[in-house]
Amino acid sequence: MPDVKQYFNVYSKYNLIMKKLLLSAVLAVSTLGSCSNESAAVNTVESMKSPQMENFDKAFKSLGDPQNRPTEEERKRSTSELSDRRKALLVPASKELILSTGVTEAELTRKTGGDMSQTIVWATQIYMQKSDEIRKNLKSEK
Amino acid sequence: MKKISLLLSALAGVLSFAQSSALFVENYSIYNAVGRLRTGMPGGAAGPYMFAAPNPPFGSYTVPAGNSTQYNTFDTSGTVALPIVKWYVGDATNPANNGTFAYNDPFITSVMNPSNEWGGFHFWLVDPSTNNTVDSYELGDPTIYPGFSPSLTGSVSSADWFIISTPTGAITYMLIF
Repeated sequence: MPDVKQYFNVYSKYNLIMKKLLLSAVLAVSTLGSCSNESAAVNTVESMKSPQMENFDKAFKSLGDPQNRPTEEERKRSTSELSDRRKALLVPASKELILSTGVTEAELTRKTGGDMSQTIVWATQIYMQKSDEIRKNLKSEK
Repeated sequence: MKKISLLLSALAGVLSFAQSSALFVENYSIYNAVGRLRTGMPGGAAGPYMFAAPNPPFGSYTVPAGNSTQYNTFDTSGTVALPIVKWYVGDATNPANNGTFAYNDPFITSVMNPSNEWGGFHFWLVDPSTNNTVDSYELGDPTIYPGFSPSLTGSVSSADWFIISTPTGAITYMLIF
């Protein structure tokens, strides 16, 4: 007749091994999970930009489109100031970005007087501050 | 206490708004922009100028493909996305100023911040996978660096350098397409 005690010992050992396996499996999965989270967090300055920031980006990028390059006349000017024609391409996205911070249309008009340069510079300052915040948050998450 | 800190932060806000031009950099191209980012005296006057030291891991100052960064002032350039931790200063009018300075060195704050403006970027566009140069540019403000141009078109790319100015301050933009 098999020793009951021995049987019990073998069984509990088996149980222990299974527990250990299960635990390490859980550990492995959770480690993998956190790794993939981390790699997702890297390079996400882009993905963390708000839609208004993305549109602001796109507006500046559009200055490189053939029809938006400086004309002969614009090239001949003796100033580095961006031409009004090209400034106008940046205004809608700039307004959108400023309004997304909770500023009202009325405040926007009052502060900029409808001036294109003031609108774009204000929006650029918001954009720079926001991308800096995103970068710092990502750094502290690592 | 609260009032004082409020006052201080309001003051800081006013002061930071009064700062001279910030530089906004976007490289939309698929190539690395490698070269010398320069500051200089307004109008090309004689005096100190400087250019950016390499940003690690690059051997020269580089704006990698698809990257962007911003510099508010010369003496805060070491804490941004593409940091400039050192400036190489040259000064024919006072050779004692020649040398390498940490971005936050008091000399940069007291001498370079008030005297210099963003001048230009003399750079090569390099294919990051083959290391081949595809275009080269002297992009910048011709009143500071004669021979530099604010708007250029290369063989596979183009680039813009411009300012947008307001009564309370200006921002300089450098865009590579």
